[in-house]
Amino acid sequence: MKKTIILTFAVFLAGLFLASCDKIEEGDYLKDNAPAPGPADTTGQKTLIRKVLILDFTGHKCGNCPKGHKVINALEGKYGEAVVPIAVHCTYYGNTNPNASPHSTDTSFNYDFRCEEGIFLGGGDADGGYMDLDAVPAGLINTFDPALINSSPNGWATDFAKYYSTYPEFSFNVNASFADSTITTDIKMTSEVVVSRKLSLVTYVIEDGIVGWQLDYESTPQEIGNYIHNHVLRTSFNGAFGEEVKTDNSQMSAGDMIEKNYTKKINPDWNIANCKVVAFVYDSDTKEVLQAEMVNISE
Amino acid sequence: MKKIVFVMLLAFVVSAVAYSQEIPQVQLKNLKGKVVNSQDIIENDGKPVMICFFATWCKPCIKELTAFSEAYEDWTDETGVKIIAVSIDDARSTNSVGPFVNARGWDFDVYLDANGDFKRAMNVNNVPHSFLLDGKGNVAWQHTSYLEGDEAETFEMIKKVAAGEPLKEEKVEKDSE
Amino acid sequence: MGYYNTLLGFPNSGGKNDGFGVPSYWANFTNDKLEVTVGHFYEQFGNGLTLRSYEEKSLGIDNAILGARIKYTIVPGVNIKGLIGKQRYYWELSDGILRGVDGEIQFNEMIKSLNDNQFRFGIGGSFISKYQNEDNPIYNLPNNVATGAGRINIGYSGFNLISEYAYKINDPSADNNYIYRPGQAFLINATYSQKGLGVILSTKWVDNMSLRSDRNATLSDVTVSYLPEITRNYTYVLQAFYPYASQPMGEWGVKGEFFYKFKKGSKLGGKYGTTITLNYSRVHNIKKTAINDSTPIGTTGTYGYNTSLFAIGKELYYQDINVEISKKWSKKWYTNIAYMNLYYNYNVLMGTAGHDNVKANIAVVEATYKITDKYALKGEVQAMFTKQDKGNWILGQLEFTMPNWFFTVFDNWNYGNPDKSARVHYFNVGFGYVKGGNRIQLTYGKQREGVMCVGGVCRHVPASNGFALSISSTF
Repeated sequence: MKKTIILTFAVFLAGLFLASCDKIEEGDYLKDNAPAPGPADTTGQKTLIRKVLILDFTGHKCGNCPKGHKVINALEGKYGEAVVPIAVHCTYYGNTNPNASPHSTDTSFNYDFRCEEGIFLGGGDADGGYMDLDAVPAGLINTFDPALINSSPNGWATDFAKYYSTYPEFSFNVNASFADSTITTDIKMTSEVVVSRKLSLVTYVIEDGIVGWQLDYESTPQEIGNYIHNHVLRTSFNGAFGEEVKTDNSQMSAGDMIEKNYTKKINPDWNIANCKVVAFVYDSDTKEVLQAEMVNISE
Repeated sequence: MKKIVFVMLLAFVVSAVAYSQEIPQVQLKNLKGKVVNSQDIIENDGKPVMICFFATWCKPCIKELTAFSEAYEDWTDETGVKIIAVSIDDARSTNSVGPFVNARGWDFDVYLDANGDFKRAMNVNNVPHSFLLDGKGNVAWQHTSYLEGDEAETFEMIKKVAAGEPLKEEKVEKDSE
Repeated sequence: MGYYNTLLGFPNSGGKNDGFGVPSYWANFTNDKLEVTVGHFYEQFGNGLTLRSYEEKSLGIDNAILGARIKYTIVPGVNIKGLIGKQRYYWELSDGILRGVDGEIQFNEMIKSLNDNQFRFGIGGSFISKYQNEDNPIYNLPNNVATGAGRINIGYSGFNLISEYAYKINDPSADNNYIYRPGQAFLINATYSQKGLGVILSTKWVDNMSLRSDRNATLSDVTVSYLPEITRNYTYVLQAFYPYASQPMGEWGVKGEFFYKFKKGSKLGGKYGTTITLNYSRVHNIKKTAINDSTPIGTTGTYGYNTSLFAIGKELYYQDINVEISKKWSKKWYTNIAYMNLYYNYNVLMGTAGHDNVKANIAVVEATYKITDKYALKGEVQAMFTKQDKGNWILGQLEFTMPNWFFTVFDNWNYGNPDKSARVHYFNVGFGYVKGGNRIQLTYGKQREGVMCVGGVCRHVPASNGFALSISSTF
């Protein structure tokens, strides 16, 4: 008995040492090549990319949040338009500085990027919100399921790659134009395979290139006055959760199309040249996002 | 191997049955670093044993054990009771328990339960929490929290258990369970 | 069994913590020398630097391992343990697989002739390997991360010395912002005691030593290594107002503690003796240097920084000096008084920027009067004086206890807040009932707001009013 136990331990130990250590040498930290995009469809006719939605719950008073922005930048550098990020400013960390003007001379953090939909999803001053966030940054990659929240921005990249390498069930054709302070958008979504899901379509407006305050623990000084805020969620055409466009599990054959049109009057403070329309479709039951698209708005 | 699996399952069932009566078998350390078994430390020649869970950061625990300490000689003379103090201090203060106890001059046997194994096995949620064992090592009475003057009740219980008298209240509770 | 958050504001993303089920199951085989566990178990190797799986319900922590464990005593004094498994992550399992071994030799037990020797000596070592596959598209990450530690304990009469050193290979994680340098931790703890006297001296060095079974986990989720705080654990509300938390990314700390009991009948001891406690601790950052001129310290996807063991940095994280005197005056009267001086690096410990670091003086007076043997009244006054953060606070508490029942009322008043509109009373009333192993407590009151950014994320708990019912029951 004793011998057997010692032997078991010895084998266990040996195994442990053999397979326990992956040292990565300096210079090998970065991966060279981006993984291939999703496979060509079965006919081999075309290569469609599955674009991936990144909901980045963030706040300008959250000093850890720029980590998330950096990961999104890195992904954009590598995957280009396959990355569809939305910066959802929310929670206490999206609120203005309590000492900001007009109460005092302190003008830092004196704006609030949070919008109705962002507060609904990520929570306002008293937190909560649909996602019941504990903390920011928090990321949801290609899903609306709060249980899948990932608090580690570098982990978002892994989640991203998981979806990116699969074949999309839909393709999008989105057009957006602006006139008379109103955005008009036309969305056509075509199924690429047979789909039998309940579907919801969400259409948001985001704005890039807003210069303003951001707290960043990795920068010196930590309070940055001219930080560039990208992908800021401004509003939705059809609510935070969008609109259910297919309400049953009936079959939708490949090539079938659903078309939707929306208009929305926008806030004159927004710089329309920097605004974009984001559309994505998700399974109403599993909350998985099946395809996303981001387009400029023509004037 | 089959045999071992069978024995394990049996042991599981038996330990579940024995749970409410006997002290579970768990490894603790004494202040000298020696690994001891929880069932071995409660040996007291058929006299009652009190197991008191405490922590160095817990004010009511210190009050309780100080009160017990002051009365300990009298209690032992009268009933032969032995008090065992089990510290649930984790790695932050495990190594401070010895000096802490020694400085206060407590004469109890002190053991360390640094990762809360014994605490969990005895279902202790908060300290202080004391268990009174009869001469056979069965839990006869238990008590949580320390309210001023609790030592009087504790001593009453020790005397009853030492004399082999039934503890009425406990019986009623058991019936209702 | 239910599994719920015990306090407002504990991590509960998307209701991860809510649910019903059987939280633990295990089968156990034990004889004199061997213990085999299959199922859920908790374990600690050494001081926990490499592995501590534990449960702390009040903090919402439960990182039990689901797997198999063997403990074996080869001969008395020589113990080995081996385990393999995955950690609990709320109702699911963490991604990574843990494999570990730990061995300890206590020579005084092993060698019969040394059994009662005044000189005691022991050594131990542990090794943990974490396996987690991950296809990060940007970085090459190690699937296997190894951590090892060695420890020693030496004792002679009233002296005791315990020391442990741990080392971890490259482990890019959410905690260290995906840097590749190895981590290390070093603890030394020396104590001396004799009846009526205790002295503790300890020091600690930590560099990049957080280990979790999932590299992307944050907050208190699936921690494997445990880095004990070197500072004292305070329990008076205002003394615990600015608590220290270990900084796994780097800290150096030192602590001294002194206990003395003036004997009964001596001049200072009086009729019942007087106990005095002194403690001091100081924690600094560690000195880090950039790997090159163009890469800031800690940049994601790099080696991170350079440092060397016990290279102490200039930034003070925390310091406390505390004196506490407990005295029983008569059968009726008992008092405890304490004074504390505190330095608290608010920005580092709370994860904020531009906040003033807190320098505070805190005084506590507690007195208990026993009306009869069974009825007692306790009064407590605590005051904190500081020019920073929210300014001065004063807390008064009254507690009445009788057999099985207690009634308590307290008010914590932020009378010195620089913002006059925020000079709020946090008033609480409550009562409780204790019987055998059961305790029920109901309180009503106002909770303070809290903002905290640690472990790579930021959290905010708003102020609230409400009832809190706490039931604790055994058997």
